[in-house]
Formats: sequence, structure tokens, C-alpha cells
Amino acid sequence: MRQLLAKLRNLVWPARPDPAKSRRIAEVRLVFCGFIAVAIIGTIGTRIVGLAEAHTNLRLAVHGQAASAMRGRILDREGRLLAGNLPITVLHANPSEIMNVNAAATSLAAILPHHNSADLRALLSKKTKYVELDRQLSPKQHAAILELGIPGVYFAKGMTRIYPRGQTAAHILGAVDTDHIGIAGIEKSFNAILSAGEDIMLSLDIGLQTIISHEIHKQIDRFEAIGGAGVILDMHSGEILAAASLPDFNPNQFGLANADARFNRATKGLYEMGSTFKVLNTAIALETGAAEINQRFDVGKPMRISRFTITDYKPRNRPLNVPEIMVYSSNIGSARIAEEIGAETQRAYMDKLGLLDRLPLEIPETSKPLSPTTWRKSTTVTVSYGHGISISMVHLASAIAAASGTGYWIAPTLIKSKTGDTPLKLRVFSENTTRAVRSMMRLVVSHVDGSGNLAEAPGYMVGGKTGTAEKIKIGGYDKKANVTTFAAVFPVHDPRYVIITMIDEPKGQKHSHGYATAGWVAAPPIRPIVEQIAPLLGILPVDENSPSIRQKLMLDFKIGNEEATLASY
Amino acid sequence: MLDRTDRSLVGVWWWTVDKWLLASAMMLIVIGTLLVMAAGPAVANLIQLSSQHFIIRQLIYLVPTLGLMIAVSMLEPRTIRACALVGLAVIIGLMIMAIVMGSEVKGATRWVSIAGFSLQPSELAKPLFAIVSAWLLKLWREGQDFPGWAYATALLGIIVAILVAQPDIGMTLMMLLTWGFQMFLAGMPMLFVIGGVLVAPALFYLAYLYLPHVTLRVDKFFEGGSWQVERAMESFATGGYLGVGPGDGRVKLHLPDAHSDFIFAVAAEEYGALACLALLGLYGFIILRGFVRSLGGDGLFCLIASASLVMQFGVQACIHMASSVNLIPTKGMTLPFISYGGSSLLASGLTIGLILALTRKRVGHKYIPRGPAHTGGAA
Repeated sequence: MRQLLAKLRNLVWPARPDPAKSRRIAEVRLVFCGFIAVAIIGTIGTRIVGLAEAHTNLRLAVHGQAASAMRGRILDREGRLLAGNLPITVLHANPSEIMNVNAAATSLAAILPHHNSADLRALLSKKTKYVELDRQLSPKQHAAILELGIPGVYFAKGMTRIYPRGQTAAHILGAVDTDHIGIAGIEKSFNAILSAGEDIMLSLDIGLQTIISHEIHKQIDRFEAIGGAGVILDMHSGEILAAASLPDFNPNQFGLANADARFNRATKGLYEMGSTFKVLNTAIALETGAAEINQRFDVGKPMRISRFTITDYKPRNRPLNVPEIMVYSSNIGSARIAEEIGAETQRAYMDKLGLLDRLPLEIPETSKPLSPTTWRKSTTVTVSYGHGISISMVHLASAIAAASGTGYWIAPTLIKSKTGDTPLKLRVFSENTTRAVRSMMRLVVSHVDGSGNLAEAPGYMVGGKTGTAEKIKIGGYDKKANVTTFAAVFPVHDPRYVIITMIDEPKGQKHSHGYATAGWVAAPPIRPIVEQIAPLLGILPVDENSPSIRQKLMLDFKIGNEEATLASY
Repeated sequence: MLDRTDRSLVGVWWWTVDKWLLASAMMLIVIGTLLVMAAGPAVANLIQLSSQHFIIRQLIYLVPTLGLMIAVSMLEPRTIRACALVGLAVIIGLMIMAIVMGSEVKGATRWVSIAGFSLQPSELAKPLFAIVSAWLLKLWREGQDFPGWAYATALLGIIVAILVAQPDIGMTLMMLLTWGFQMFLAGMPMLFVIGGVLVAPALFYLAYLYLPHVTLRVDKFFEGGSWQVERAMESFATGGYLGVGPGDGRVKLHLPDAHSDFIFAVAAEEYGALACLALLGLYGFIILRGFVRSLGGDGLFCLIASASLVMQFGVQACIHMASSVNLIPTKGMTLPFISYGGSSLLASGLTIGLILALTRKRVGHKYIPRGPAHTGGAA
């Protein structure tokens, strides 16, 4: 027992060895520490080599080119400059080196127009070592200041990013920080390519962009709205020709823009689209055979589904056919059609139309749509007239393009397609379906009872659909805050372009008889837009009643009590 | 030069001192002066001082540093022990004074002002503690029933208590490491060694949990978001293998502590990775040469004392370099002899001086390895 205890004690606290043995232990342990030291130094050395190696490659890839080339330019589809570089001379001074502040201030004030001698004196008397006097010195001023020979005044060569078109397309272009690193828009998403000195050619046409931006702006003012957006999409290629968001900002002074101005209502803002979804609802119904064109649906009384009651804006007490439901914009009719379509099918089509996913767009300012997680019967009904799902304007444009154009869903893009490029496309609707849908959209504009009459641009064959949605607020909908949208397709007989106009929170006006609905607010800008852009796009006005035009449309359906089809043409 | 038969103090010193270590230390001093010349003006401008501020001060500090280093290296172990004991007592006094009435710099009270120069006494406490504690441990191992390890531990406790009060976590860590290292060399039972190795991570974890700035630095390290470290890494990017050239670096314009805690990054940018490797190699050489010379040292005291001084010197250099290359969380440690700073320079000089003194070949005191006749304690 004692032996065991002694052994145990020895294990924990061994008896002191003789000095020579102590020394030996210390030596062995020190050698061991030497090996650890070698390992640590080796690790640090390896890391240094690794860093130098990795960064040497990086420098070759980015810095090597960036050092020799300026940041690449951003051009529109015609090669017009949207973002470029400008060499600047910065004038600065070190106040502590200036010997005669008064003399310096007086002579500099004569050369620098936006300074007077008093404020220069204040600047040059500061107790710092750096004051900036001018950021954009002209060569003439530069020479004049050199002549003065004031000690303590210095020049620095710099390069500044400029956006010669100012506000136009600002949201798409984005901006750079003081180190010329992109912080928004194309400048951010293509930062690597731009900083390597390569140019980027966008799909935008700055002419169209200016027109749509101008017209939306006018309408915002007319209706005291808080903002708006406009999109022009080429449905054959998926190229976005214009994407405006208002209010906008001047990218040359990005820092001064507030968050609302920076917010991209065309690509990032998510909205319930309202009745413009009836275009999609109709297309799905026709495509899946859930409804025939001449099939009639009962819209006589409000429809109750779970906790909702669905009513029509202008109730009709007779069964309506599919084109009438679209032209009269009947919620009840759309709901009845949606019930025929069914939740599963509707969801599948929403998915095919890209409305459940984030936009595959080339800028960072996109959002994932807000869509129901479980697709109930009530969901199906509300989605049919554009509620319960929030998407962006560009989402809407590409979905409308599929439903009223070629039948293909094409990923929208902001980059100009090269000739020979075939865009990624997905067949969603047949030719027959889209032809019927287009014809109905034409009636929304051309028919006397249609809600989109004010969008009519004579001769240009505009079709479209209005959408008015109350904005969501906590606990329900805000009766007073509308988002009004118009989704237009033109020319309907030979579809090529989709135009979306959106006016955010318009207020009813005298000139609109107090209305702030899409037909009064979002539809009217379509006419001046189409009339201005059509010549630029090479589209000529046509005679609507010519047989060659009429046979391209499907017009054998009845609207109202008219015996003759579409006498209103 | 000096004749081998020259028996004067300098003569004996010249023939017994390790010239390799001496030369390496001198080289570090030269390199350090060059680097402070590069980084100093930029930092001085950044904090609104005359551009020559740091260079002039560094050169002024060099005089006592070199003097101290050479003078100390001439001392005999016996004298060193006596001086260290007195010195440590004074320094502990100064450290307590620094807490009571010292100036607060960047959130810690570590500095006392002596004749216009502020001094960080804990920098000097580090080598002095190593000497005193090595002596206590040697007495424990070679003396008669002298519980030296307990005295050493108690001494450590006092110093650590003061350091934690400052607070100076880096220095606390160095003290703990020095003590652990010495106990290890002095033949601490394996069971305790293993226990210590197991307890250390737990201590780190406690520090992480309860010391907010440790939490911050460690989190930053794992998230990779530390602004300073990113700039430091960038300096390797711009520097590449050969550097952008002396004076042309930009990192020093952005890093507030470029002249001290991040001087390695300045070196990387201006002189390149190859120069950094050379610097690392120089430190590596000093560490290994120091260990080898410690093995041949005279008696257990010299071995433990000089090995632990080498360890302090090496660990400090390695922590600085490893933080700069983001291998470990940032710990504001100076690079011995290279970084700007009077206390740091003086402490480095003292450390190397002591190592040189303790590893001198001693005529007539030659240690006979494993000799049964040796009784120890004779030095």
C-alpha cells in the first residue's frame, strides 16, 4: 500500500533527479522546442510565399491591366457614351507652408472663380496640412497658378468618372466610389471587367430611355405621385431597351442622392400588379384548355372564397365570355377562370414565367418576388387578378412578352446581344394563345368599353391592360395608395415590344375627374411614348382596317351585344 | 583587432561572445532603422507630427539601446542575477506607479514618463523576470529543498496581477509563456506539462468569452473583416516578390500603426516577399542559434535563462509576423529591433545583451556534460 502511494506520488511529483540529470532533461526539452520553432517559422514562411504568389497572379489579372488602362466605358446599344473618364487636376495647399496668406488668397481668388479672397483666406489659415481648393482645374488656370509660384500650393493629377447623360439611366449605370470601385448598378456588377479597362455595351437605347423617362416624369407631376417606372422590352431578344425609375439621381453626385432616389422601382421594387395579371390568367386558361374563348362565366353576384369577397368595379348581371372578362376587367370572371385552371397549374405557369424567382438581371438591384408559400384555392383566385404576389416591373414585362408575343419566355437582359446570339428561351404559350391574347389586349385599348382607351396611339396598333392595385399596409390594403400599371404590347399585329408604365401613389385630380386608376394615370403616357419611339424603332403607322392587318388578329369573338364583330374598329 | 591574449574586459568579451548572434542583432538594428525611415514620415504626417519625428527619436533611442546591449553582454551571470533582482524590484515599482499615475494611451495605463521620454516598464520586466525566475528554478533543481518553483510562480502571480490591471493581455501572455517554458525546461513532471497543454486552450477560450477586445479581434479574424489586416494583406498584393521600391509603398499611408505593429506589412510592400523571407530567416537564425548556444551554456541557470530570453524574442517576432499575414488574430506586438518604439527597442537590446552574456564561452568554467563529478551550483 505504501509502495503504491509512493509510486503514485512519484508520478505526480517525482523526486528531484541529480543536477546532471536535470540538465539532461532541460537539454532534451530545449531541442524539442527548437523543432517547434522551426515548424512555426516554416509556417509563416510558407504563408508569405503563398500570399505573394496569390497576389502576384491577382495583380497580373487586374492591377496589371488597370494600371495601364483606364476604367472601361459604359455605352448604350448604339455606342453612345453613358459612363466615361475625365482627367482632372486637383489644386490643394498645405496652409502651414504658405508664407503670406493674404497675398496668396488675393492672387488665387482672381484665378478661381468660385472662391473669393475671404473664403480662401479662411481655408489657407486652417491649422491642417491639407486643404483642397479646386477639383477640376482647367489647363489655363493650372498655368496661371504655376506662374504665381506660391509655395505650399500643389497640384495632383486625377481621373474622375463622369456620366455625361446625368440622370438618364442612372439606376442602371450605378456609381463608383472615390477609389473607382463600382458600388451600384452595372458599375458594381461589372466592376472586375470595367476595372480591367474593358468597355460594356448595354442593351439600353438612350433615346428611348430619355423619352420614357420624360413621359413618366410628366405623369408623376400631373398626378402628384411619389414615383414611377417605365420599361421597354424587345420581346424577340429579351433586351431591355429602356428601364427608367423615378425619382432618379445624378450619378455624378451619387453621395447627394437619398435612399428613395437610389431605389430602383423598375427592377428592385416589388408590387402587386393588379389586373395586368388577367392577361396571364387568360393566356394560361386558353393554353391549358381550362376555358374556351366563347365560354361564358357567371359574374352576377360577388364571389366569396374563404375570408375574401370578390367584387367587380362595374358589376354586370349577365354571364361574360373570356374576351369580355378581359376588356371589362372582371375580377369575378377572372376568379372563375382561375378556379378552372387550378392551383397546381397556375403555380407551374407562374414558375415558367419567372415570377417566383429573382430576376436574372445583370445588376445587383433585384429582389426575389413575394409569393405565397402554399398555393391555396384562395391564392389561385387572388393571383388571377394580380393580388397575393408581388413582382418587379421587369418581371411583368417579360411575362407579358411571353403571353402576348412569341409565346417564349426569354430571360431579360441589360447587355446588348451580339448578332447571332440566340437567347435562352422557354416555350410557355402557343402561337394561337398569344394571338388571341393580343387581340383581346387590343380591344382593351380600342373598344369603347375598354379600360385602356387613353393609351391609343392611332395607327400604331397598341394593345394593353391596365392594373390598379392598392398598396399593402400593415393589416390590409391602403385604400388611398394605389400602384397603377399599364402593360402594353405593340404593334399587336406583329408583336415586337412590351412597354410597362407604372405610376406610384397618384392622387385623383380634377382633370381626371378625381380618378387615380391605371386607365387614367398609367395608360395615357403610352400614346406619346409610342408616337415618339416608333419612328426611332422603324415602325410605321398602318391602316387598322386593312385585310392584311385584320387577318393577323383573331377577331371572331363578341363583345357586349354587338352582332358584328368589333364594329368599334 | 584584439589579441587573443588580451585579458582586458573588452578583450575577453570579444573572444568569448557569440559573434554570429551579435552580427544578426546589429543587422536587425540597421534594417529596423531603414524601415522606420520608410514608414515613419508617413505615419508622422498622418498624426500631424514633423515628418522626421519618428526617425530622430528612433536614432536617439538607438544610443542607449546599443550601449545597454553591449554593456549587459559583458556582465558575468552572477552580476546579471543581482542586477536583475534589483532591476525587477524597481520595474515592479514603476509598473505600479504607471497604474496609479501613468498616462493612458489607447485605453491602457502602461507608460511612465522619465526625462521627457515615456517608458513602458513592462517591456523591461519581461527579460528581468526571465532571469530571476530562471535563478529560482535553478536553485530548486540544484539546491537543497528550496521550493524555487513556488517562488517563481508567486513572482509571476504578482506581475500578472499588475499586467491584468493595466490591462496588457499581450504582456500577460508573454509572462505566462515564459514561466511555462521555464518550468518545462526545469523538468516539470510530464503529467503537469500535458495538463498545461490541455488547460491553455481553455484559458484562451475564457479570455475570448470575458475580454471584449479579445472577442472582437478573434471574431474579426474568423470573419476576415479586419480593416487593418486587409490593408496589411493588400501590401503583400502590391509588393509581390520584389516590392514596389523603398518609399513608394502606400500601406503606410493608411495604417495608423504602420511604424510599429504593422511594420512587417510596410516591409512586404516596399521591399517584397523575398525581403520578408530574409527577415524571417534572420529571426529564425537568431532563435535557433540562441537555442544551440543555450545548450552549450554554463549550468542550468544559463540554459534556462538564455533559452527563455530567446523564446521571448522569437515569440514576439513570430506573433508580429503571423498577425501581419493573417495566420493569427491581430495582437499589437512590436517586431524586435525593427518596430519604432523606445521601450521596445531598449527591451530588445537588453534581451539580446543578456543572451550574449549568458551564452559566452567561459574559460575555466566549462561545463562537462553528464559528468558524474559535477555538483552544479558552482557558477
